[in-house]
Amino acid sequence: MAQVTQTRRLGRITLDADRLSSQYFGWGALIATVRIFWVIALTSGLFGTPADDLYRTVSDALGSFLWAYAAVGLVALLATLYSRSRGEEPVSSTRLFINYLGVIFFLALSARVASVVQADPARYPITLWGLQLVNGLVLGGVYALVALGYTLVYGILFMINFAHGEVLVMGTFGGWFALTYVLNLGDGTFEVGAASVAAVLLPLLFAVLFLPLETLAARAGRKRTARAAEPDPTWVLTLFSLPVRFLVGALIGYGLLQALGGFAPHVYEAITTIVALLFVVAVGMIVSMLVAITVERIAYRPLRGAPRLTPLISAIGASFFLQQAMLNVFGPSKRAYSRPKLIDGTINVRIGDLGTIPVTKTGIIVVVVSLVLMVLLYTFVQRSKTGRAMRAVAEDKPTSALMGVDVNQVIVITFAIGALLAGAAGVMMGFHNQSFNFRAGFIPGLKAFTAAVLGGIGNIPGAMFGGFFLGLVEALGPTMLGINAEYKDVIAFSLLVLVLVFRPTGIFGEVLAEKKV
Amino acid sequence: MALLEVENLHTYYGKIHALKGISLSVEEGEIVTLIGGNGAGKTTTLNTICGIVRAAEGRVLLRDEDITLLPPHVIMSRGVVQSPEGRKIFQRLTVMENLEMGAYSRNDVHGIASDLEFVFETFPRLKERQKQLGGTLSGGEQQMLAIGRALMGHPRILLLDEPSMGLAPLLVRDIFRIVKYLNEQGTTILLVEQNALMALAVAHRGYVLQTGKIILSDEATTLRENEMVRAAYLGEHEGAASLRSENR
Repeated sequence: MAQVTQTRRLGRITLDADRLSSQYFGWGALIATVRIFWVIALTSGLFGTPADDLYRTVSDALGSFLWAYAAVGLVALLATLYSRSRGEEPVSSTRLFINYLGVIFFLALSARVASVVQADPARYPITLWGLQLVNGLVLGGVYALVALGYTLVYGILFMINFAHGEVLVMGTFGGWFALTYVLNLGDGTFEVGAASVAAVLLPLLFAVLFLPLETLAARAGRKRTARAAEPDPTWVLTLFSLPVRFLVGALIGYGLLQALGGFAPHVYEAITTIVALLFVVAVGMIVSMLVAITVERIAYRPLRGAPRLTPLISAIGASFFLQQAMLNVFGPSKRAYSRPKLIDGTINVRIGDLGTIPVTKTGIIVVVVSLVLMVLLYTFVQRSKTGRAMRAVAEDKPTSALMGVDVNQVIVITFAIGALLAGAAGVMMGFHNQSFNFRAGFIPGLKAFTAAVLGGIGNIPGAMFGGFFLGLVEALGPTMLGINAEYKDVIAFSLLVLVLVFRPTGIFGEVLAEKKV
Repeated sequence: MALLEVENLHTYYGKIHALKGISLSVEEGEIVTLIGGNGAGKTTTLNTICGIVRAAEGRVLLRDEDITLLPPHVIMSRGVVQSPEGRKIFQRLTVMENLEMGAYSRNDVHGIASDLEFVFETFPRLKERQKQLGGTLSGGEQQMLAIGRALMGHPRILLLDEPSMGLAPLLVRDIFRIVKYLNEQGTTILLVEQNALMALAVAHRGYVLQTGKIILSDEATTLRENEMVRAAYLGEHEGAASLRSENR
């Protein structure tokens, strides 16, 4: 689409209406946002209690300024439209309209927030905003992890994997079964079961860690013997065969664990619980991964050469199939996700002397783990050989194949990585919400898709940003607008529509190259 | 036994019969060129050899080993490396990452390092720009990167598709000098070109392709003297016509 821009010369000044209009929108949105934060920060007492009339005056002044700003914009808009309608060449004015509407939107938003909050400041203490902020971050962490799955797959195949929400909840199921297994091992007590799980897993970990010792030692030995002609000092290690090293590792691990149990029972319990939790998460992640790989193999790969709409429809089919299959196999009832003591309860965070915010431990875990996983993913995509191949395949599949890349393998890896993240999100979501059923992935899946579009689909940092942004909007939005929290879905999906209409490439979105579209 | 042997290759795009029985061979250490007009099937021939396009009939032999139906990444790892038409640089990868992609199927750290050194010696420009994104390079630099990337795969045979396309005449001469240099360093090359004059100047032997068939094959020097080739591809007429259009 060729955007025809019209420039007008007024003496030596060149007027570019489209550029001016974008700047008009940007400043308007900024001022409105400043007003919102001004009102929230001051009414909630974050900056002490300033003179009531001072903040009210500033807030009202900003509000009046915005009205004037909108009025000036309207005049400019009408004038430009008039002059364009008289021009000989047709010029598109859609952008001008959109930018003007954007300013009106922000103006209305800030006016609403100001009137709601100023009407009854006592109902909006800083602890409420803090709590909603935390809730937003927790939601955002889950959304971001799941959004990455959408964005990774879109980046490579240019299709939306609508079954991703179901992949997520399959992970929740996988984790639930692992959790139930641990609970059964301990006759209903997680910590007891965790001890038995850790008693197997930790020695196994040590055993595996001991396996490559020989090669490591040999490499160190080679270096040393290369320098001086002394006998290879690693002969002791090479004496141990593979099974012997495995056994020795396992014994050391087991011994350490038992010793810990004897000397520091609290640490012992914490460590065994963490190992068992990691086990639960790992099972969820692996189940998600297997489901995603199977779906890719059956529902997407045979359609690789088909028109772009076909795999999309297939994805919706896969989504329905998985949902109905889970309903029939596992039933519609909610299942409880019981938390072990270690991650149960809340931590009270004090904000000066303005009060405390009770933050759930699972919430903290969700945010921290999702951030860690995102950093790992980003590093993997940017630094590793496979990540490089993923980026190459996303850009140009035939040429990647010419470079010796097995394109199908890279696609499977992409699905697997997205599903691993979704599985982790699914299990954490289970622990955080404490119950779930077969439908638990549908809405989060749609929300994460929204988040991916918001950030610019196909863009990895965009998905992370979009996830947290959407989570915050959902948590803070109803509070700001002074409406029932039930409306959060309405707000989230309205945001999706707004973004799709006004900025289809997303906030971080690059302009899609023609060949991609 | 030739290094690369193509026997009676047929390829279809849907119902279009693109290659109608191509046979050619490349000996170790040679530069063989495949010339012909637009749509003659030059690129299709290379893509069929590389496995990007499926052969309907016929065989491709690498040292008497049938590689016809292997997937492209396997063919590449056997040492048949293509530098594709239009360069096809990964725009959003850095120069260094592009080169590393070329060595994707290899694991020999030392071999990769020495090949990288060779590429940087041959194309010092790439060394200067190794941190730049591929998309920010000029056309000539991108062509160098495309060739360098292919060299990183340590080819037994290098398939070059239109390396001179879209380059200024001075750069075209550079590229052909590099092609000759690479060959002197021991790389076997199958060169596809529209610029028949330059291609025949560096090549040992040549094949002339027309609408999916090989109509002529001979020593490069002989082909240059051939009346038909002169008229059709080295074309005084065509050359004069293009000169005239440039003057306008």
